Amino acid sequence: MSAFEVLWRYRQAFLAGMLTTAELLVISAITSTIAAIALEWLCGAAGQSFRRKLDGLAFGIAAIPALVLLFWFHYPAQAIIGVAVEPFWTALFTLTLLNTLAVYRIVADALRDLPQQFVSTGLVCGLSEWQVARFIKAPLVVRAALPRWIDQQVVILQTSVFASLISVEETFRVAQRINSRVYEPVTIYTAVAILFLLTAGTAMYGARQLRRKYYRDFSER
Amino acid sequence: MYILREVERTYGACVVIRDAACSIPTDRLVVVMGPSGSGKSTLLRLLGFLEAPVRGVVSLLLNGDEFDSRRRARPWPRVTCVFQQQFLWPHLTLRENLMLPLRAGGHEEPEARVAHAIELFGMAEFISRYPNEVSGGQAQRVALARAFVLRPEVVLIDEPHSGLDLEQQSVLNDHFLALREKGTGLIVVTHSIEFARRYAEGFVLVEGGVVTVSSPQAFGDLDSDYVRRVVRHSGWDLGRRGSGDE
Repeated sequence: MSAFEVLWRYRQAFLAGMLTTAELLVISAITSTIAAIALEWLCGAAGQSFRRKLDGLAFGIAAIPALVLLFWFHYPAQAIIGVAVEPFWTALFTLTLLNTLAVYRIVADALRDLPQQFVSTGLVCGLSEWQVARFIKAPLVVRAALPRWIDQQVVILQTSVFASLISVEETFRVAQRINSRVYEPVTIYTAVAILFLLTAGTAMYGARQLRRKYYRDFSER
Repeated sequence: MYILREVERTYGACVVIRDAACSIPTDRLVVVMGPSGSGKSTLLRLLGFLEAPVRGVVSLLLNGDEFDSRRRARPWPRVTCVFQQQFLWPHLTLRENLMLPLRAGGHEEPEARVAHAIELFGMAEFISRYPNEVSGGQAQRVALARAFVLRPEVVLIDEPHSGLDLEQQSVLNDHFLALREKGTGLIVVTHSIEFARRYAEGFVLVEGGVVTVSSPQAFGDLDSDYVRRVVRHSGWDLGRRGSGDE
């Protein structure tokens, strides 16, 4: 059986797996981006001390492998607080936590690199702070952060395969189950690679369109 | 009229403006001169209310209204700034750079004002481009036009001539004159002796963080190494300008 035959024969199962992967990715991307912006706003309001603590936390979390975090949230954390959460939600929480802290760093870096004079110029031209944020800061930060944000979402897509290890029925888990039935690892994992290539390719294409629409090369010509 | 009372501005341990106590008129073209790194741009940012002094007060009396560095109210855009690097917003076209402050501020007839500025500053050829697609001189004109369309009462301008060739400098000076004719006060930081000689109606000397205000006639008599160097190297007797001894 070829990889494409495997994909066709088990299309229902793979489709369900891909939908779960897509759910993890999309919900995580949206939630993390909103949370990261809120964190950055909170840092601006609460001051440097809060930012230093958050930077420390972000570094600490980034240093721990995603798999370890996933297992920790799935087994010991739930045992300690005495709750049983569905694996999907545990995986989503872990991915969102990792994604939030990474996106927060991306947003914070883009804001830090924004020349303050663009803001000062807006203010002396009579724009309010809200108008400066809306018409100057936000468009420039989005353009600066977009390439790194796209890369980060691809990393989250790749990290989502770890969710299979706590029994989330995403693409990789589906492939494992099919392989345990037919035992054709080369064909099946090639099929999974094709699926990820298609998913990442679609995401990259969408991202490229976004980049084309919003990104501008600001270097002098 | 700006009134500075015992103004001090520091960055860490470095004192950039030291005990400045003077009045700077806002109804004429005042040239701010001084050696590089003497605190001219910092003074401009203090006058623009973009920075607050660590000690003392900067006040501005503007046609009956009073602004004060200790209070929250700011005189923008009645007082506006054009920085050394023009800081045109890079994600907007030059036309949008002119339109944004007008639209955001709810000014009347923004299109007509921008069209007038485009004609006055000769920008029709490149107004649809982005800031990174035009020369330094063109960007400087747009930055000045962005201030001009707001019809400010005072414009603070930091080293407008740097990086411009002689023709572009001349065009820029014509625009300054046009602004003066409309009654706009200009405070210009510059190293251009020629500009100072031709256009200055008042002088501010910043040297070693010390701020001294002077008339064009008295500038050459100031007890300053910098002024002596300017006088010696330019061959221009600043002290006797307009005194009838030339």
